[in-house]
Amino acid sequence: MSEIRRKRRFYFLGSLITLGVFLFTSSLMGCQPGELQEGVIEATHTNTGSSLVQLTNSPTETVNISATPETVDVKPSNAVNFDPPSIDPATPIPEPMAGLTLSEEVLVWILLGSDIEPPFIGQTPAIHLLFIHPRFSKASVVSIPGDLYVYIPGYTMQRISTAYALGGIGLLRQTLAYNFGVEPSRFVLAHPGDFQWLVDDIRTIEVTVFYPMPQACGGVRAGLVQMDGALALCYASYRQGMDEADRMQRQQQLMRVIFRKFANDGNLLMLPILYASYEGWVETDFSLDELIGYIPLALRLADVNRVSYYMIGWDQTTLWEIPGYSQAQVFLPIRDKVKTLLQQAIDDIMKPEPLTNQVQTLEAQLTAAYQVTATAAFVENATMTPSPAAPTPTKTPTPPGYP
Amino acid sequence: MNKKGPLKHKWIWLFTTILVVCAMAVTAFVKPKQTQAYPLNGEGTDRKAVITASYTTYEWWLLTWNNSQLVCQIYAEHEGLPANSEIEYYCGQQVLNDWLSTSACVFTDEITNTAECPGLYLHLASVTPGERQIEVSLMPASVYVDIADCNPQPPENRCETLPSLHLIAEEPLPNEQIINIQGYIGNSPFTCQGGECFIPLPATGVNGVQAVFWADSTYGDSSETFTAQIRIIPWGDFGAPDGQTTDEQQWYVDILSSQYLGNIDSSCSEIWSAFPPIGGPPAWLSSPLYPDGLISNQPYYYLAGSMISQGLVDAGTCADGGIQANGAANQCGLEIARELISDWQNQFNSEIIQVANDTGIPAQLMKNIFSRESQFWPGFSASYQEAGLGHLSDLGADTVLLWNPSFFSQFCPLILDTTVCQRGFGNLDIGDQEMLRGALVQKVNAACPECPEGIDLSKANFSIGIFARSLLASCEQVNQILFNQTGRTAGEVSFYEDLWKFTLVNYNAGPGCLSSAIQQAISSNYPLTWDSVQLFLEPGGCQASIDYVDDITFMPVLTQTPASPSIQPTTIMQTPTPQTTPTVQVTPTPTEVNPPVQTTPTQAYP
Repeated sequence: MSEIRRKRRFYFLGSLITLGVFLFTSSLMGCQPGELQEGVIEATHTNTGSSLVQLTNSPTETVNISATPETVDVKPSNAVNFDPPSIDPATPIPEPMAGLTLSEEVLVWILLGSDIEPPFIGQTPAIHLLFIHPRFSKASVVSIPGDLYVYIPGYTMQRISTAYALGGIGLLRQTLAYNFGVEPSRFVLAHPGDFQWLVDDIRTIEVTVFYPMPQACGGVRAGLVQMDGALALCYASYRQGMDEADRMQRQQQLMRVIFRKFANDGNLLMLPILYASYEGWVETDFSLDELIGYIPLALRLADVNRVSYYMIGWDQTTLWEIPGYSQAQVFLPIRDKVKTLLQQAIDDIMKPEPLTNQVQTLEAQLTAAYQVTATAAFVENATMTPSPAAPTPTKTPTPPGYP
Repeated sequence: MNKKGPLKHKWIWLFTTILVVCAMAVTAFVKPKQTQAYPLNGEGTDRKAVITASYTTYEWWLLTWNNSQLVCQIYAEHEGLPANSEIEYYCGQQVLNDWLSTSACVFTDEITNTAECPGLYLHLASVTPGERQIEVSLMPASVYVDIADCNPQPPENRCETLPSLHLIAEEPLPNEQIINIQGYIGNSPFTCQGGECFIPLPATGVNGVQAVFWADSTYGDSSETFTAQIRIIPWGDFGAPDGQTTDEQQWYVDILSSQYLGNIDSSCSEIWSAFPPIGGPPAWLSSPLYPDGLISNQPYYYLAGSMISQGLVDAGTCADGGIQANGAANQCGLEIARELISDWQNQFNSEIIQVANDTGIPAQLMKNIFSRESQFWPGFSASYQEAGLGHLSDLGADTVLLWNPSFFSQFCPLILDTTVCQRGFGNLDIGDQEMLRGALVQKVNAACPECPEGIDLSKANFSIGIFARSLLASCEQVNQILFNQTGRTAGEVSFYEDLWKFTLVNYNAGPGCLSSAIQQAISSNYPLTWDSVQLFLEPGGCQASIDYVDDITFMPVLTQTPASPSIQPTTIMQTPTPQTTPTVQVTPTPTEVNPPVQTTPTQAYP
């Protein structure tokens, strides 16, 4: 094996924005409705509310209140429809992945980070798959390395980070369906500037750097580091050689930090301004109404340990050199281990657990922040005008002890 | 559930407030534009590969004969004895001298043992095979540009329909593909999936529109970002009210780009980003398709004199053997040599056309300059230390070596070690620079006492290519001068034809003259045209270049043989050569047939 090449690219972590976004900052993303295709697993979009507030996105939406969710064996329903390769592959094309067990309640979303600013279409080196169980208020994040070498339907074997650039979200969905047996129903794609801007908008973040990185970002010391947008972007983007796992860990770390920052101290009240700022930049097929409906879920997911983090890392891949003289290296998935990992991520969110008092604390902080803002707004505007999109609270029967 | 009632109430207020604030924010707090803190392409992935090379290390010991004491160790990677340079490197000059002064140890009556021999001997101590890893750069992806739906041919460059821009990307690495081609046409971004792209082009203004483009590769990087200046001008009657006209509607199309796949009209156009005049350049900047287009029949007195001197023409019936004291032919000698002169001055036409096609330097311009410089006699001018058809001088060689890195990288290894050449001309030792300049001048010196005509015609032809590259270097230099003075490209501040005249001044009088004149023109708020810049050329050698420019630009392309020999003989006007900084020099204005006049004896420009 040749010497590992050092790569240092400024990738953006769509996930950093989007996890925070889907949880708390969801209103940021009512931007560019994208393509929505029939999925292999088309997750049912139900907003099962908590015992506190149940929001419905539309009058016709079904509220699933089943305490014992049904599970299905996931098989790519349109596996036979995957297009054959148009270019001879460098390595044999594997069979489509099938056999994951996934509840119909579970939402599957994809968070993407592009490496180029709009309007140009870049690769997506940051790819994070989300499994969300709204009723149990649990989520799993599965980070996928951009250099994972997979079959891109109709094209050839290639890095998964190229799928979006080659055919948009439609081709990426097909690629995920073929190689992982799951097809996200919603996507969010953000660009480097979006992430940097977000961190600056929330007035920097504090990140615990576990080991010094003298060679990266002008040198990052170990310990608690105050990061502005540019440093956070670099910290999340830097990759030493082929150590994608380390980079994905840093990305997931930033997700947690940003999420926590949004959840605490009523920072959620910043969301409308942020939404206006990001409109037209972040690409997504979420509607604003849809996102508003997920806000209660986002509050509950702020409870520690309700989001699990996984990655397709060294244990699930092998390093492989692409034939030819380029000595380019990619990760070949070990399919059984990848499947096991995905199933574990799904199974994790299928175990109901009681909420802690932290949720109530966060709600209280948000309410307090709101009261200050509402008072100021009331004084300024004299009257409050109810929004047409104001949510309607409904009762949601929830098993005792569960959110 | 009852306990949660108040909380629920709070949530209603909370969401109502959020939505109100959201609505307000959409209208009041929208940021006008997002700041892009990073370059579009970011840092690319290095295209490097590591190759393993096998080698063998030969360890030599240098020992003394008398006691076999080890003096030093030498490591060579070749068979056979180490070279003297290797011994010097490992052991120093003194040991090398000792080694060189050591003769073979031969037994004699006095010497019966090797220990009695003086000096040193070499001993092969070990042979060790090894491997080393060498990092090599891999070819990057690239994008080329062409015109679709039309094949415009210079100089007219006309299309019958509005053409499209055709971009073609290439990925040289196996098992990697081009993902897309992206860029801007003017301010409008575009993205094309795959390695090929067709973009309809609108009509542009006379200055054209700039296209910026690059290709993204599955390898994870992007090609270099390329640019092209595109001009599409409606040509014909587009204003007929009823749409009917006998005047054919066409588009004049041209592209300036290093990536253009079409015919090169003028490589200096590309350097300057300056379009040639619509409809084609003037005659003196034209490039005929065939050698016949360059045919001339000028009465060159110096050429005739050289031919008579070399015995190619017998002018014994003329007074003074047909030659004047300055070496030029007299009228009688010219008449006798006229037929041969005509053949001689046209024998280089094919090579000129070929070089014009290869380099993009206008063929007629080269021919005119050769006429002005050497009258097509490419021998060495001892008076000026110049050689070749274009009279390349030491400073002319310096220009081409410094400003044409491509040429330098090809020429330098012929003279110096490759590792030395990798430093670039500007970083070489003064001695190495002098050696290269001298070698280049000698390379184009076609004087050949042993040759039947006194001229090595193969060298004369070779000098044409060198001369063209020297002009290219001057184009680069002009572009840099204008950029330094204005901060803009040459094409933005001047015109194609004027830029060529600046180039001729730069070639003839040197960059000091041109730079000073341009600076003064700018200071005086004059436009950077030839008419205004020439007003600021300093008296002496600088102003002499005005005549040089006039001679070349107004030189008749084709002159019929005059019926009467009463015309004034063409004066041989060697290039007045400036010093590095422009100084007042005597303008060479001979009024009769004169030998070449050297205006600056120290340094010589072409």
